[in-house]
Amino acid sequence: MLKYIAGRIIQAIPLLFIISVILFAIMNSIGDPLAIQLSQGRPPTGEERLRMRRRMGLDQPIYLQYIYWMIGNDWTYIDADGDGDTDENIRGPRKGVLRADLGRSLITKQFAQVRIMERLPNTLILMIPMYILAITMALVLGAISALRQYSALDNLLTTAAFVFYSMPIFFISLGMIFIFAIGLRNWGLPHTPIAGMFEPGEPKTLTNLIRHLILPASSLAIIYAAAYMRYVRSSILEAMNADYVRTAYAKGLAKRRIFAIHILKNAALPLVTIVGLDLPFVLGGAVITESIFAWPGMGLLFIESLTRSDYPVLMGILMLIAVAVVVLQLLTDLVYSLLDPRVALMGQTG
Amino acid sequence: MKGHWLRVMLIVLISSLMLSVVVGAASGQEERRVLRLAYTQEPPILFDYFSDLGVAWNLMRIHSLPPWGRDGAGTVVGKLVDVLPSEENGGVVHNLEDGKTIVSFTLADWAIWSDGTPITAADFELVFDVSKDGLSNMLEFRFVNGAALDSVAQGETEKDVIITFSFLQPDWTTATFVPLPNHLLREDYEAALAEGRGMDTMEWLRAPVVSNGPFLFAEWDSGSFIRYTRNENYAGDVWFDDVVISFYPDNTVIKQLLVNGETDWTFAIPILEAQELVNENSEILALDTFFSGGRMELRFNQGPNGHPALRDSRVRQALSMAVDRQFIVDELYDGNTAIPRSFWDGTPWFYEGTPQTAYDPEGALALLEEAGWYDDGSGVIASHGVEGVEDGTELALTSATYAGGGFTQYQDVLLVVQDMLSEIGIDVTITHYAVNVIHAPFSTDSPYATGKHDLFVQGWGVGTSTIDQLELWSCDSIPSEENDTGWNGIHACYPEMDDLWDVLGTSLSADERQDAANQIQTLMAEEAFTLFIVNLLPALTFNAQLENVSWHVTDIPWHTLPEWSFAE
Repeated sequence: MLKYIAGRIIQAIPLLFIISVILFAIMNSIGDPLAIQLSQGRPPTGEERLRMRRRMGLDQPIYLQYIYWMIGNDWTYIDADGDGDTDENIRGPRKGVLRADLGRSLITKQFAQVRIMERLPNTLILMIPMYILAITMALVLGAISALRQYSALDNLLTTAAFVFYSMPIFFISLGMIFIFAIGLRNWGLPHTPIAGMFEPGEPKTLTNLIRHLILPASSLAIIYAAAYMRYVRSSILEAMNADYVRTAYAKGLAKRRIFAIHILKNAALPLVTIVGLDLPFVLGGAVITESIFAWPGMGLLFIESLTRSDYPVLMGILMLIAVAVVVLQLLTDLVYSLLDPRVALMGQTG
Repeated sequence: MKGHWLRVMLIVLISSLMLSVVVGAASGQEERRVLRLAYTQEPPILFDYFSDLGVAWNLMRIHSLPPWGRDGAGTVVGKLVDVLPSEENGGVVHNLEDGKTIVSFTLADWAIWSDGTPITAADFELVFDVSKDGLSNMLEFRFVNGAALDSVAQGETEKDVIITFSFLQPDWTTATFVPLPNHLLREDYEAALAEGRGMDTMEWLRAPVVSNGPFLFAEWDSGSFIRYTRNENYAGDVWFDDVVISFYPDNTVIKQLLVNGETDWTFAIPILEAQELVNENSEILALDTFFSGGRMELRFNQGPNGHPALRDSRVRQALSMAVDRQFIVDELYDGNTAIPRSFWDGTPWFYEGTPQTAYDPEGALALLEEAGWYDDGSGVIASHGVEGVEDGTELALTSATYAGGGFTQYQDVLLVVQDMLSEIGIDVTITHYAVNVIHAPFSTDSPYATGKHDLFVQGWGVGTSTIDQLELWSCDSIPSEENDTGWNGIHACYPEMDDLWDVLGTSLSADERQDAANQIQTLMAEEAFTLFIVNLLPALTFNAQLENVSWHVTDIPWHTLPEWSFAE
């Protein structure tokens, strides 16, 4: 097992390197971080703009920018004042990704890792309860739907799953706001806040957090649950018709025992795969939902950084997701082998 | 079975009760007067010295004030001084020989930081030092409106400040900038320099706990809100206890918050949508607009990649005549803006004699024909005998403007322009680009810098209080491989206009400068390289109970903020 894990990690290194090269090239073609900053008053002259670019190192060839991003620039002299000449007494301030320095945000000048760590917990606060809710709903509703195949309830649940899965998230989010924040308020009933994570000026209590969490988490959970429910339903149906289940019935095992041990466990395999594929993107947050509900998570940070061409932060977020994909794929494979002993990992015999 | 349903109902009932308790939980805090502002963008820092984003600029003015600034009427008023410097009182001296202006002023005794420490010359010297340290990545053009700041020194007492700058425009009122608390920052700043870092990396810029404005920074919840509290050491009355600025990226949400009474003020809603929202909720919401100095322009690309017809001023003039700007003002903006009569319309430098372009589609066709562009019966307007252009070249144009929800008015106006030009037989195709793409440098293949399109609908600001020397249209600022960051993507190059801009930047004679401004306005109208379509008027949408609200885009946008209050 350990040999397998070590092999997968070694395989991931060139993969992550290639991903970083591709992402860096893309990030450097998404616009000028200075262009977005020209929104107030007198624009800088061309010379002033050029100086700003030099100070940020944006005038360097892209391969050199990549090298600085990867291994830092503290080994070389830089043009600190942006006059076009290298300052022979000033070395670059960056250590590079390999030494855990993602660089400073071009916009806030904070370290990119600080920006990310400010927002990552908020995204996890949103996404973990959302995922638990979505998977619970999917399992319960998918099981009900499968156990009552072709009944009116099955048809209703299946149709609802199709409808919610097809619905754009912004539509569901705005609908939820309209009903639970505005409608309930207008009817004089307890209502949820429209947006945000806490009420400004109020204590950051769990109650305050939960009030704000309800709408964004529910909006996302509805869509995820609708998608997963379809998998759960079809997997359970497939398992219910399997020979081993028929055998279990023939042996006179209790229905609940058959369902829990023989059907649900086997039906969970496709769900594990799908959730394993989706989980890394949890770290990236939910761009639209976080934007609508002003939830200060990774999705919002991503979209802010994208519109401001803040590529050190963007690279940080995307590389975090890339690493998470590699790690969670490995974990998924391990969980798979635990759930289904027939699945052999490389180096193991079945 | 009955028991099963009872269990289900009990679970639903308990869940509903728990939810009600959670969502209905009310705050038990003492009643404070809180002003809630809604923005779509979060500032990167709270000082515009290191960020030119508008949101950094205007939020800085809530907590920090310069020695003087302009009020809503454009009058210069003291904020940290009792007596403004002037030529008459010897506070302003122009040295013609070396092109320097020296401004001397005395800070008022009541001008103190929120921690009670007096504001002194050292606080201005710190800013100057930061601007010159070579590490702080400071936007020097923020100072004295682009002129070079040569020195900042203390006079006879620590309250006397002497600023020397080289004039790009000899206007003493621009020699103003927000001081930084030297007594708090100097040590950390020098430590940062010793580590090879500038002030732009100091966390203090995101948490300025000591300042001199009516409000004081209290907390910043990244991505959510910034909260200010009243500065108890501010030399004036302030009605609100707290100002909370919340960030909602989606302005649809801000509209709902306004209607729900959960926010009090925003300028995040584009004017066209704000009009509609306020009309639908006139009892609870109010709308105000202010002159920002911004113009929406239709710019004609005369460069090598633009359509060859646009190199002829008659064609540009004709296209301008085909655009019914009054229709745009009346129908698209409900009359809530105006047609700019020149680059400086709305400022003291406007020239009444500036030639105006009237809507005249038939005149436009005649002018096009005179220039050799007409429909000979083939159904398209094409070239006939135009020098340097192959006969039969069709006059079909490409255009570009900004993409995204914050720029709907640009997109709408370009659609109307497209319709109007099609009425005289000219097809226009439209492309939208993100701002950071369209305004990127030449080397990034930016659509504007490389002149990929024939027409550009863009917004540019003109100083509302000063005559700026701009590089938007100078011959030297045409972008190229050698001039990567030039602004003149439409290749509008008129050497005589460059000379006039120089006069604006260097002449001490008010008459001479006004004359240069007049000539520039005339030349711009005659050459028609850009058509000023409408004034860009940002819309303030706010709670109708809010009183004394005014805001403007000059030195101190929040100049009346201390007086803002709720009606009883």
